[in-house]
Amino acid sequence: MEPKDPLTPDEPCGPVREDAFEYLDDAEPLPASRRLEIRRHLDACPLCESHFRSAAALQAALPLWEAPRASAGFVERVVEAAGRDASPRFAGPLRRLAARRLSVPLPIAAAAAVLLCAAIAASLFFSAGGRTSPSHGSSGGIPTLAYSADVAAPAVLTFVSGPDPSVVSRVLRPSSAKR
Amino acid sequence: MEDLDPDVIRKAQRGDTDAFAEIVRYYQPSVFSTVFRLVGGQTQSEIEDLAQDLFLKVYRALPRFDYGRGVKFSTWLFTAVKNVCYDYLRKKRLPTEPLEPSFSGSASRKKDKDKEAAGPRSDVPAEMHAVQPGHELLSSELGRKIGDAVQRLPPDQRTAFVLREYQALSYEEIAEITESSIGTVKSRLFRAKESLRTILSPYLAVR
Repeated sequence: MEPKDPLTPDEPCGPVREDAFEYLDDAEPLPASRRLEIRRHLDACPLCESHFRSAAALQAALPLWEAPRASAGFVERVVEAAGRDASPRFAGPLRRLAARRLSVPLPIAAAAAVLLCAAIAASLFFSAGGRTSPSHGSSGGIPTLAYSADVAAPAVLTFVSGPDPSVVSRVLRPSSAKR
Repeated sequence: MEDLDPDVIRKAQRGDTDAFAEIVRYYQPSVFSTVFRLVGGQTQSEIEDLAQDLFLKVYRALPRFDYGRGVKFSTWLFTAVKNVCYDYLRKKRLPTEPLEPSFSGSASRKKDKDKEAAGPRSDVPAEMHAVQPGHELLSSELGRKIGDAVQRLPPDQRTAFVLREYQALSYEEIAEITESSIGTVKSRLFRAKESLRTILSPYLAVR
């Protein structure tokens, strides 16, 4: 069996070059075994050794790209702008309290509005008599109320007295004049 | 990157102005430099406007940050940085041309014109682009060369590279910020550095 040429790389160059930058990374170094494999390959491969040196030079030069700093007062300007923001989080205590009290979930607010409208409509409806058809006269001497079926127009009712059928309830309608 | 004390974050979430100011003061250098490196080629005032806009977005979104999700505040913050910068690049339609073998190509000249149109920058030697390979560059000139080369990386490679090399974020953190796998992050880093190495090797002091 012929002895292995120590200058012949054991593995292809691609994976070694891919790991070259990680080899140079101190933050999360490669496992020691992998570093040893790479070192052995570099010792046997002049092209990869050249690539590695170039990668090392790049890594060493990266800190030269400096970034500017924010101008004086930057923090203060940001905080001031945040204070002008619409959010009440940074407002005074009274404003925060008002915001909290007025803070009602939308579905609840919508349901409350519907109920309120229904209550108003119901009060108008029942104050108008509560019946869906006109009636006249009375039942057993008991005065009855009559109203118009046209609930769109609020009506002022006159009382239908007693059992006398000659007395007809009259419904006074508001004129078409404006309210 | 070491995070700020969580108590400060929680105070800011409850509306403490001083706590929010402390957040801005602590993260401002990292945020500012990252914005500069990701969007590149812009004036100081434009970078500041972008950084201020970012912090205002952070301020409005603070109530949504939750330590219970197991995310570091810095990871959450840099995700916002990445998103703001990407939105800015899309709006500005800044070029992300692939790296050229030489800076003397037409794409390089176009980028020089774009930079002039963008407004004045800190002093740049007018003859810098004419430095020939093999000639030793001043540190500031090499630094500017590196910056120009980084701006030509695709956004995903540029982001991984900047966050790794200049913010020292871990592969896991970068993967979370960029919503990718650790393997993808490593692949992007390799391609970014390999591109930079190829372009900058004539100017690097190889020993």
